[in-house]
Amino acid sequence: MCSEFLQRAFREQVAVKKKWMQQRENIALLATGLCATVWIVLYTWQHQFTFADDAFIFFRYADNIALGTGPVFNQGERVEGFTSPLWLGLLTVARILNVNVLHSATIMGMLLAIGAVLLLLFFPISKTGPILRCLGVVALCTQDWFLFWITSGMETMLFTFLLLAAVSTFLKEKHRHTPHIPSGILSSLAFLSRPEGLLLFPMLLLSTGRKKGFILSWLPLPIGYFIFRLLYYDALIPNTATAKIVFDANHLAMGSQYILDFFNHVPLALLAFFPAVFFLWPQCQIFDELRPVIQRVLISVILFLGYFIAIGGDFFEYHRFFVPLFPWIILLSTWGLQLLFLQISSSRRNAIVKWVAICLFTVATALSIRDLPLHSQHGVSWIIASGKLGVALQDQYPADTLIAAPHIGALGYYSRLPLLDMLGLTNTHIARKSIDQVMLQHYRKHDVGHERYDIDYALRQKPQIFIPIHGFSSRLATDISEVPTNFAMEYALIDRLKKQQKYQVGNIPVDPYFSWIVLIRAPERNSI
Amino acid sequence: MNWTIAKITVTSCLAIAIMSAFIFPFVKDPVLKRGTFRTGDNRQHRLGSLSYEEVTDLQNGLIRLSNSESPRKRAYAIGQLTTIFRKRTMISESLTWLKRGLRDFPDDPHIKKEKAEMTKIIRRNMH
Repeated sequence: MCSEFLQRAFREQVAVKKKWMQQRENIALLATGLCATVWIVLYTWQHQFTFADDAFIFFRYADNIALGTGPVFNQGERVEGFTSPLWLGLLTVARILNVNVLHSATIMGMLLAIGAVLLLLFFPISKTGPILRCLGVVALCTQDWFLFWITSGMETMLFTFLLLAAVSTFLKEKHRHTPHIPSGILSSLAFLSRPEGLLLFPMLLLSTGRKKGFILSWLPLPIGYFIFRLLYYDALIPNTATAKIVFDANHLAMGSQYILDFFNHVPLALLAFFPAVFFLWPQCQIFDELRPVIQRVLISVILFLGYFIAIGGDFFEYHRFFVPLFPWIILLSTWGLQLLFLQISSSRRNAIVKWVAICLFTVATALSIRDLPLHSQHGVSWIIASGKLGVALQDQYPADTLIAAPHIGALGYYSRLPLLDMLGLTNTHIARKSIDQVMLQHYRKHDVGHERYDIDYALRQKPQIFIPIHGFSSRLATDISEVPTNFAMEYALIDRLKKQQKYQVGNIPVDPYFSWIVLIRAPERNSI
Repeated sequence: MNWTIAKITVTSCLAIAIMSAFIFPFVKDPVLKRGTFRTGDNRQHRLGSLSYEEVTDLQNGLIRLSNSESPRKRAYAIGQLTTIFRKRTMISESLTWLKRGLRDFPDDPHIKKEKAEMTKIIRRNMH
């Protein structure tokens, strides 16, 4: 009787403790979600208008669609000069609804980042405890290089969110034995948000026995867009891919360096390979449900790394390509630590290992936090100056004046003038131009995606003004030798113009104390 | 996983985010504003304890001084401008002033110090 009473009392005590623990975990998850949301909102508010220059290419396309000119950069030139049809679609919808396209890009970036954080916090079949889940979100929200992309105006956050959403939905469907239709649609949207989203398709397809539903829900959107591309742009692949992708040994080396730079800058990412240790250890216990998920996520991350190496990395600052991978890196790290807990049977040792692992994760996160000098694609001031130059050009030149520049984003969006992209993103001729093999060996990080140019072709188009990318200056230039050069294309152009003498140096004021050094066709010089 | 708490968290976070989204359109496009640059990125524009406006005033005063007839004032202004642009991470702008400083005042100690600093930055970025 007495023993029965004691047993009942013990069970009740355990139940109360479990309930208390559950409540504490719930509060921790709720508080982390709310704090992360507020943090992202404040960050977005503080960093508004820190757009990358390439974001303005999307904005000009969205403007042109809304104005009835069609999905073109220059009127009448059907070129697919954007990488994300889905991001362009969302911006266009906002523009048609008469919402400022710049604000809508910022707000959508913020909402998608919050969505990604919540998906990470409540990722299904995670098996990780609330502490590690919360620490994972803290790790995500404290990385400046990750947060930078919220307000960049680019499609990066959309792709990050869709990768997480597609896999989360897929795992839930698998768990509930329901058809893979929503996950198929989400992964096809991920492909339409970034070309490398295609890697998700085979990974998910290989992870399910119900392949038919997944394939049938995945196919319609990409096929529909492909037919549109073929009919409208008369191209099989986007012009940006033709212009940017180069395969050679130098690019493989640059791609490898790109990855090394990331792991050097973000030591936390090294923990992502921790679960691999448990697969190599035969006696190791692994949750049956988690085993295939870890394997496939790890393989996907490795496939993405291979893709980054193959294309030579990225010229953007702040590890743009790693942003969509970062939630997966965090998940792999936390899974690795959770597997470590599982190996320890004794409760006392378990507690010690648990705190060691949490400390390890916290230290790795702390080491990865850097206060970055935010200089956007070429500098926040540079982007604004480029936009102001666009406004000045629109005020001073007729609407059919052809401008040639290697940076067409803010300049194109604010000037509304026809632009010749000297690096071929929105020009099919330059995008298909073969690369100088001698120069190819000398290209460095900032040249990736900027290798193709054709000076003869550009001069034949007779642009009124050539605008060098780094012409923004507090000093006035008087001679062509003072024109700043950055890309190989600019060196070649200045070299040619020095001999031809058809263009002369001019300074277009963009601010009371700053002007943009430009090259103007000789008869036009007096108008400035 | 307690899905009730997940639903409560997601709903409240999205409510906060959507409500806060309405304040963003109150910030005007800096490109279309008249006058000097102003962005939300204060870290880039602040210099020590000086505000954005104070730095801009100082910078503009120094640009005027860099055209002074006195070589001493010119050397001072060019050296300071190199430092200010470097600290504001406007590296190409800082380099432009440094080049002018090295051409006109190669023996000035401030210019020499700036040259050493810039060499460090360039070397770091190259690796």
